[in-house]
Amino acid sequence: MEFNEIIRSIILTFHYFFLFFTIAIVGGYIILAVFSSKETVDYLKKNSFINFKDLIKSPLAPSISIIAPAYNESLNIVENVRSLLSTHYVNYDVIIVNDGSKDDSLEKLIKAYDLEKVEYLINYKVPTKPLRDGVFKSKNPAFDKLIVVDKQNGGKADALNCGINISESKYLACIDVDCLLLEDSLQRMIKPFLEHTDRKVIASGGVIRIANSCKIEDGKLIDINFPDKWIERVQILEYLRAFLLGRMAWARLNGLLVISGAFGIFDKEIAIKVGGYDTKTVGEDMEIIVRMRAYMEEQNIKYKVAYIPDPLCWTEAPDDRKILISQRNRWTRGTIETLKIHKKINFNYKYRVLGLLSFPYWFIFERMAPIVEVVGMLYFLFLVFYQPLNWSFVLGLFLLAYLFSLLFSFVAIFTEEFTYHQYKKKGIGLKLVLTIILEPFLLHPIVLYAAMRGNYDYYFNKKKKWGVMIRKGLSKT
Amino acid sequence: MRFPLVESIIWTIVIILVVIIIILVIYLKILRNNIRLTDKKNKKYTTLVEENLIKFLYSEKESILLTDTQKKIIKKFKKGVSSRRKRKIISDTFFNLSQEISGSMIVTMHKLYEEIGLLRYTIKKLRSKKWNIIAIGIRDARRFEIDKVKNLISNFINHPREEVRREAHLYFLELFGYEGMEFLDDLKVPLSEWDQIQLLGEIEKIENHLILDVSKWLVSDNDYVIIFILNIVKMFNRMETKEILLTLLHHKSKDVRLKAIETVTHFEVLEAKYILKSKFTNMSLKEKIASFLLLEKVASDEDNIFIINYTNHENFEIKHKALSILKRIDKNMYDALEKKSEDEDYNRIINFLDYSYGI
Repeated sequence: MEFNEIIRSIILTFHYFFLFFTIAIVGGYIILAVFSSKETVDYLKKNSFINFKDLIKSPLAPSISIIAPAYNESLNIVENVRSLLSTHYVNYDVIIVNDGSKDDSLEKLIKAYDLEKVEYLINYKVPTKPLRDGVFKSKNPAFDKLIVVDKQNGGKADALNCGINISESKYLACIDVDCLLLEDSLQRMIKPFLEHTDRKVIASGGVIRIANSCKIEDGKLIDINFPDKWIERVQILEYLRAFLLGRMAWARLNGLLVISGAFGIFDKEIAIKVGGYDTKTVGEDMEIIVRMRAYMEEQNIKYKVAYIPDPLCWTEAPDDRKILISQRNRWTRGTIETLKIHKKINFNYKYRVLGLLSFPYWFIFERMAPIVEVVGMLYFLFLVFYQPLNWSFVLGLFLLAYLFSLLFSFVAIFTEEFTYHQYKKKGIGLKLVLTIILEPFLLHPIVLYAAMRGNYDYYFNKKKKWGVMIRKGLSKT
Repeated sequence: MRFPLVESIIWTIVIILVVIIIILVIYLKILRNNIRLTDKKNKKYTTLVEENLIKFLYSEKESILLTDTQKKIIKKFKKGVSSRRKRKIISDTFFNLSQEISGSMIVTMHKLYEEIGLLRYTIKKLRSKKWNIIAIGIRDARRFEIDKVKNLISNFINHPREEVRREAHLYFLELFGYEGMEFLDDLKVPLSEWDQIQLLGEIEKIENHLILDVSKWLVSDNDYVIIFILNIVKMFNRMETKEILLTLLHHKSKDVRLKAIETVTHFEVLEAKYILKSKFTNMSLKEKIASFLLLEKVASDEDNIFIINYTNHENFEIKHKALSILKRIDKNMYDALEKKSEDEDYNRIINFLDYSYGI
């Protein structure tokens, strides 16, 4: 075979590989969009006449522990805890795990909530770093739902495990302390656990909304605004697409692999049976769900990971490129770690939907997609230099990819408009359209770069852990 | 390499997508405007319905004949009812207002509900093929206390969709009080925890607390009915069911047994202690832990030998309960225990009970 023929067959192989990958990814998105719309319609039908009021005062309301790890959160910790304590639910407690903060978080909490050290018999159901100053409860009966634990630093997963050990409730609501929960969040999120009799609901995840530029007073969301900064706008669009399209569809297929670490409720019994959060990964939120699902599959117990699309949890998104890259870098490493830890699930028919659909999808279209994209770019450059290109064909392909991305963003926006319509104000529609048009140029390159850095750091920079997220505080926006 | 066919397909799709996107942009604009407009219209119409309804109720005379104003209002409502959007607003406003009024006004409002044709729509909903429409129909019948449709709704007690049957169950409780609980006789499907919360919420609202005899449901073939009734027994302190509760400790369903243990613990039934002790080794872990919660309340010095056997149990909660009960019922035996063990949990519990307990 001549050299030119070899090159030609390599080029053809690449051509077909990229063609099939693109068709698969676009086809996958179309299927997900269909499933997501079905699930959304069903969810709205189901919940249009539900009365949550009885749950608020019912003696049958199951106990829930809100576990919020805090590390150097001194700036907003007092307000954030106040917001958590104002949740409308009857049977819950709030466990703040101060994970070896170096600032004065603990002192502020002691002062604000009149805390005193108490003796507490802890059942170490999952291993965790030892306590530092111990367990605190308030002397003021108004804050009797609050428990503050001060422990040695061990990272977010370790702090959550400590909360699991402290909790005496049936369910765990694991959240980021700086998240803003709407008052009825627990009522809505706990419902799936209570309504299924044919299967066990092991976890329930919620939509995370971006609160940048929103007006917040006394821990309550007063006014929803669309931010001015493009970096925040494009993330809003990205979150809407991910939560209202992607996760909704996976919920329909009972194939959800991730419940955001910012807000999720877990069945404590199962979470303990699988050993709690994995402290060795930076993607502990995804890892625990995969492990819980794998456990249920191995035990052959019918189960479900539920998903609630209501906008219940609002958080602060990075408004700085560096922090955004650091966050996405960590997400990439978390995904790689989880997929590696549970590689036996991939394409394993014993794990049914998990092994044959969710896991392969994540491996191919989440784990491998950035790598395929970069290889594609390099291949394109190679073609530019190697042979004269049909630029009309090239332009057509680029436009096709771009327009498909716009189309999916539009589907997400329409889902939002038909369902929750959170961005009500006049003028936001145009901003949304501009965001849809610009997002592939503004956010995608950053996400791609961060994903590649994440790959690099995973293989060549093992020391890298969480990275820093500088918070401005929601109340200050 | 040239692929003229592929190229022309790509460009065709590009053009189609561009057109679709332009349409979507325009539609988004129209949709957002419509949402805003409908919102405004709804608010305006709600205010109008409220005003008219109040005017109607307060212009009621002693005579059975309607006043001219009332006739005009009925005409307006009848016109509104034909539009789905307005019908929903009228129905919701009627319901909201019915929560704030009492006595003869409620009766008048229910009559008006029939008169303007809302009842007809409710019955139509009940005959729908769509489950969500049926559920809304039952909810409407419940809200406006329409007992004429009782037979129709009784068909939905075992409906495959939980939302429909839940509404049906609530309908019977809300309209017929404790007598409405008879639907449990025919219940063949599960009652989820969510269903039970809703039903108990409704039962709590029943003013007459002379509850019916619930014994027959404690021996139901449907385990979910038994569990639900056990919740009622606990909530309303129905101690006269004690004998049945004791038999339920031997029930074939683990969930029923567990709930029964929880209920006898609530009543601190001493006889249950002997039964649970006799079958303890064959119990599931959850039942064992629940039994220790009963023992925590009713154990006496005669139980010391039984309890001491579990002070080294592998389960932390059982070990903790056993040690703390032993300390309470037989201090000498507790003091005679080894205070140091290779089991770290044991040491921590002992340390907690000896030095920190009660702080």
